[in-house]
Amino acid sequence: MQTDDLIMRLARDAALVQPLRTPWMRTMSWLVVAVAVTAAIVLAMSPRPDLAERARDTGFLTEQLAALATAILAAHAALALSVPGTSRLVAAAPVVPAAVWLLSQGAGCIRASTWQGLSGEPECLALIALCGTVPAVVLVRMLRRGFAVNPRLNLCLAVLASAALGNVALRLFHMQDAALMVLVWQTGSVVLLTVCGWLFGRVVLLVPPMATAPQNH
Amino acid sequence: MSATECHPGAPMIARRKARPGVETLAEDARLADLLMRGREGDQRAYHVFLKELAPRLRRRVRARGLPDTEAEDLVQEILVSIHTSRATWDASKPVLPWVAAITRYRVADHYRHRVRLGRLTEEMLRRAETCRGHATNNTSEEVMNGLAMESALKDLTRTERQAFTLVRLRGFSMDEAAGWCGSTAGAVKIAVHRAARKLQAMIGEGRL
Repeated sequence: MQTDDLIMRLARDAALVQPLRTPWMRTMSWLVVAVAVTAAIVLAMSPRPDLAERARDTGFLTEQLAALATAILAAHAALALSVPGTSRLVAAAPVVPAAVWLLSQGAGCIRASTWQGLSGEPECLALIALCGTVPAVVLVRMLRRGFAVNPRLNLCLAVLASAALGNVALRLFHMQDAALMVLVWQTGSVVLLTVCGWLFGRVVLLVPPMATAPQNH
Repeated sequence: MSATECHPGAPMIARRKARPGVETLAEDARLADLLMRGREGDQRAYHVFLKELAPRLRRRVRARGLPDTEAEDLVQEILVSIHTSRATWDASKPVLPWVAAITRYRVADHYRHRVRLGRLTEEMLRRAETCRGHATNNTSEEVMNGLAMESALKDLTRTERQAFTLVRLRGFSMDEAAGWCGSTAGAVKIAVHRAARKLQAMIGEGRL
């Protein structure tokens, strides 16, 4: 096909297009949906009985706020990177809260005076995946409206955002406070899911949305 | 696009280059207006936008020393990418840096796929050679067909050969092939169609 013919077809295909809103606006839209869904899951699973007491614990609050900040900044980075011309440095934004999150858990491990052992709690992975699924699906749909500059990084950030939010929700209904257990089974699950996002980024994000793909070729 | 096309005031743009001239700014504003109207459904304005963009893209791609057919394929891929991601352009920012960013990604992808295709072709030739070595597995006619197909594929452009090999010979879906190529399903479809037409013409001419 000649380039002129292609241009003619593309122009014929040019229906009304709704421009994307700014990445921060889109992040806030995602957050509203994601928080509503995870809150519903927390209520359905019944919040832990000692939640009011835990909410006064600085360590617990630091972890939760750092995880929430990681989720927000990772979602923003993923959405910002789906706009051509955005600096990849934006992907570094979640590193700081993620470091605070990990360090606060590490400090908890060190503070723990007795070795409580590491028993198996693989259900944490399933629960985080459950809480993070809807936010992840919503975020992927939003990302697919953009341009997949670096699909692996984009999906990796999207999964990190959803899993971090899922972890915040999990801590509100799942009674697991031994620092090492939280670090291994909960944060470990977030890391594992994020790696999966990296692995499947190209498969999930490179297929263009059918509504905007040129037709009739 | 030239280095002067990056608007210095554009936030979040990865590469800041020399200050753009008045002419560049005026052209940017004109193209931005055309794209904005195109996004509102004005097909005529969008047609003009793409028409005016094509020579700029062609200049930029050819400056990299690619053969003409390959350069034209790449220009088409960039145009398709611009089309499918036109919703991502922020109308409050200049349009040329946005176009330049998409071009940069597509050119980088193109070179990555060149390397990948080189490996794929190498592997196909190695397997063909292995099959040919087993006389019991092949009739002489099959060997001749294989050789004719191999030679016919060489007459296709890189993009057409890649798309045709993945979709028609290796059985990938358009979407899977697009994922493998880092392109779009639409662009793969076009390339497969073009390759099939060329191969049909070769059959008509008795070359295959």
